[in-house]
Amino acid sequence: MDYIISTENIWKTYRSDIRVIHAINDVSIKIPRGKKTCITGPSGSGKSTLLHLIGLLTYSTNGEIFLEGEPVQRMSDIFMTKLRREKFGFIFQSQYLLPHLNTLENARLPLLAQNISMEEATNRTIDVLAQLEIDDRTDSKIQELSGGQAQRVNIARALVSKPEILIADEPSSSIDSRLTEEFLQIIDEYQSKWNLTVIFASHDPLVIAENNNEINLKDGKVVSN
Amino acid sequence: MTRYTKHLNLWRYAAGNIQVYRGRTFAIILFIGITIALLSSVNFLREGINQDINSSLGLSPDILIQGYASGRTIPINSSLTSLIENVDGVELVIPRIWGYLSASDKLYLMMGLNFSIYPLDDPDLGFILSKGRMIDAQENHSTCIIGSGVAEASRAQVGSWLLIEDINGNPKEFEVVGIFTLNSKIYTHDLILTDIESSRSFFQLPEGLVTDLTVWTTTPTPDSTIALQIDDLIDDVRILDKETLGNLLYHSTNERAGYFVIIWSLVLLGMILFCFSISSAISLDSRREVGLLKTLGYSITDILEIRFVEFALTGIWASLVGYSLAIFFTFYLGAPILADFMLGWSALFTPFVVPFKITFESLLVAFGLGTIPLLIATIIPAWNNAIIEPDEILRGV
Repeated sequence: MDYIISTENIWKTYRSDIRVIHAINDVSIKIPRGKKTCITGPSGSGKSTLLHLIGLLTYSTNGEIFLEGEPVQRMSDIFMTKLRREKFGFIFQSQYLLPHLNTLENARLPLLAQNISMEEATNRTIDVLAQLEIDDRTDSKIQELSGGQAQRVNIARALVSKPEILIADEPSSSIDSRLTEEFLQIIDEYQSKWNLTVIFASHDPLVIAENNNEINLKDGKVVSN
Repeated sequence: MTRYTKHLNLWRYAAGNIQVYRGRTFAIILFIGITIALLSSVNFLREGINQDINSSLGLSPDILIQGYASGRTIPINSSLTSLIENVDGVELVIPRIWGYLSASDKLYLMMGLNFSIYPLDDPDLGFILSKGRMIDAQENHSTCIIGSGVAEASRAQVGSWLLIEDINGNPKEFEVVGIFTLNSKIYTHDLILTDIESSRSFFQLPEGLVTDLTVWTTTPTPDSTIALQIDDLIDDVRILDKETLGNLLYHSTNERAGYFVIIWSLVLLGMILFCFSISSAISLDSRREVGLLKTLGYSITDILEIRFVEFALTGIWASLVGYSLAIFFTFYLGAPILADFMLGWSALFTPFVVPFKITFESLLVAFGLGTIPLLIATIIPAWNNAIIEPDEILRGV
């Protein structure tokens, strides 16, 4: 099988005064390309931390992460940023949308850091918003959107730069089961259309059930894979 | 599409932030604008006054000689004139009798010159009148030329008579034959110019004595050796050259400007604290925004560029507002209160009109001080946020 991301004995340790927390404890996993993987486990098990490590949002304390076979842990912040920009799309909970920007501006954000003109970035964003059936709310402030609409903006922002890997951290935490199903349906469409690699972190059974691959964590360790 | 496209995007994003945070932007522009307006007004006034002093110095003698005894100036013997005229490099020596007089709660300067020797036709020394004529050396009664301030205060015109009490309280009459107009308003504003004998009579100065001797040299910038030669020649005199006279005038205004610089420095300190408080107030939002932008692929330099453009534009706006306010306040309104302070307090205020002059230096000071503290106060927290891993920021949300 073709693995797009793999980790080798990674640790992530947080220090707070004299307290040491091993949030990720010697984890080795493999994420298949073009499939959906879900990291599961109870609250505090290290799901988000592992997702952040895989998404190159932080460096591991020990061990190595490989992206398409290349080790990334010794890369500089500049290269990590470049990889995030070119390869990843991120979906967080709705509070990660910027409240002072409207729908279009929020969804367009990833494209502004690329060498794409504002007009082209706007057109591309409107296309994605239209596919997600939210193009009639382009000028709306985030506070004016419903939970489902805000989640669609989140999805649009993650997809607008056509990433290879989609990372979604607790995507159903602020929406009900109907919207969760709707969200999963949208992700399914794009996953099959673009051969997206999707990685969720969730303890929602609805989300877990939809995946090809499941990694179960407990106390920062892999319980089952 | 060019390699600058991304930068254009970032600048537009930064400009959008200025609009989004209107309240914050307005507060910054207001505070910095007022500060810059105050400093720029002081600078405009100081430059204007210095320009006026330069005009005055153009009319002042190259060397001034005063009698000096027991640590104070005293009248000097006018017979020294011929002695000084023999010194190498001395072109002309003119005795003057002058002093201050008070009338109707106003303070005036009366100066008497010997018009038979005063070179009225010399363009460097000639007084320019707005109305009337010069004093004739052969006048058969006391005549005078008055400054615009005197004319205004006494409501006198050419042909009017001024009735002024001399130092013994005896009334003296002077016919106004002319009114001054000079580039230097400070120099002639409160001046009553008359012939030397009328002035002698007014101040009851004994025959043979004058207030001081003014010396013009053959070179425009007199060599200090001329002053030294005069000093060697005559005892008990104080000799002031043009540079010293100029310094005395400059110090009188620059030292007052110095007080304002101190006040301004305190205001600047306040501004820096204000900027840091603004920076702290926005840091939570900013931290969250920076964390998200980094997650979405914005580099540290992208984030710093956004913040730099955002606050550089705000600072430039604030400086522009402040500088424009200063222009309006100083050149249009005449810098009320501030001008009185800078010009000094006297019984007869000089209606000083600041010459309109915008220098590169004043622009540099205004825009430098309006933007640099703000940038330092905002870029440093932005840098602190930008170098943190996105994971750490996202966890703190």
